[in-house]
Amino acid sequence: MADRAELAGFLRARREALRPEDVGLPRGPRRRTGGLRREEVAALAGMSADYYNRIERQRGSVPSARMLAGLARGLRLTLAERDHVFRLAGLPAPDPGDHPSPIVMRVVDSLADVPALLFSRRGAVLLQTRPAVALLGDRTGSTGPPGADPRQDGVWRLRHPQLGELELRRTWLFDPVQSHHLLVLTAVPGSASDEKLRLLAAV
Amino acid sequence: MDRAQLADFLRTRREALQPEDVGLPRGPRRRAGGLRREEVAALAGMSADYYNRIEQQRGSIPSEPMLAALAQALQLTLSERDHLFHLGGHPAPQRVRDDRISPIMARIVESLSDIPALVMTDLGETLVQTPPAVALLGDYTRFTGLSRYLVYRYYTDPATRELYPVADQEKRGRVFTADLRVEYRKDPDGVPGEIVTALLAASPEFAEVWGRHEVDVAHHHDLKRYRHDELGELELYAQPLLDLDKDQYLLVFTAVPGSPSHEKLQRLAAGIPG
Repeated sequence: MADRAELAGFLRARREALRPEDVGLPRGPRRRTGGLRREEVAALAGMSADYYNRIERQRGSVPSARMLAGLARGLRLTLAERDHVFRLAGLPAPDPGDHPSPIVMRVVDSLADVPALLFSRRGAVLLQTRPAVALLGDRTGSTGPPGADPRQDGVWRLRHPQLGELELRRTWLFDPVQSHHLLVLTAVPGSASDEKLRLLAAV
Repeated sequence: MDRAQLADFLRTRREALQPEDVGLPRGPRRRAGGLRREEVAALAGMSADYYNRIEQQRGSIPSEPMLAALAQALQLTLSERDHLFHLGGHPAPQRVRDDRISPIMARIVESLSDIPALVMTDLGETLVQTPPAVALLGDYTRFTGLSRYLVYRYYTDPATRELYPVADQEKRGRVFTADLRVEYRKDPDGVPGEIVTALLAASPEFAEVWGRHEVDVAHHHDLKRYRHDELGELELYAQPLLDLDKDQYLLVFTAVPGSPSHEKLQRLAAGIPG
């Protein structure tokens, strides 16, 4: 049984408490008293502003599990908070392994110009920076690309259709709370592969 | 001992390196295949002939010092070095503690400059702190000797204990002690052993907690409470992120958005506590 009033209240309280920099957005020139705008949350959650507005106004249909998962990420909720939102919408809480922690999301934001991927315990790609998409294709939801095994570190040679061969160093960071692995790919500074990564980041 | 794998591993690592990676001049001619065998041999302090024999799977099995020299010459990571030792039929050497933080970690810490974050070794030695972390906890990097380690300070320095509400102090001591036991098991003759010996002599309280052999005390999901002179009490999540190659981890402190602690963290970041 959905509790629309509680759901709307929770979402609004979070939206108003977040600063743009908390979610990887630039702080604009104007003063922000009320936290994030509705349309900003909608964009972060991958839904239309109109759809989000209806949720906060307790109108329209109850959001689907996919929409709620997007909101939980967009608002940088903790795992317990995400499960709370699902329950308010009358849905069972999904797999705990599918939700990146808010801090890890922020860390991935900070790596926006290098290839970085976040893997779930089962090897599914949960987050991917733009250069990672340019390098390996959109792998969100799929299981790990070749060479993305946490037990393997050091040099990874791979071939990109446009850029040719790259030699990348794998750095693995591990979130022990969620059992998520973060892979960051870098090249020796000044090397040909470094130059290619720069091209990818500029795309 | 797996000669074929050992030879293959060394060759791929040699070919992945360029002269400038190891501080050698590039020279006029093209380097398609990375470093030359004789260059690796020179860097590792062995004869070119000896190194050639390893890559050709001939001659005697390389000794542990030879493998250590090769690991250094080829700039292997700690995991790669351990792998090299396994291939050579030797146990992985005791990990020498590496105080440097990786460039990626340094970058991440810099990007978190508006929230409390720090990088600690598994032994509780703080390597780097953001300004809000200094404002919250004090400068953790200023200590010398055994006081560099948080567990040692906890049992010997009253100011360290005052960072936690009185009701939480006993639990904190148990968590730090359990963490120390994990490190002690891995390296009883090194720094962890030194800390244990010093604390057993300095603190009867530590001796009592140590004697309980508690292992599973810490729970990452818990909100942790901290005390601050001007701001009073803060309730924070401490999210760890482990560097799997370094025996180090990043710890980031956050508060529930909209909570009083969240507001206090923003005041800390702005540098105007109180």
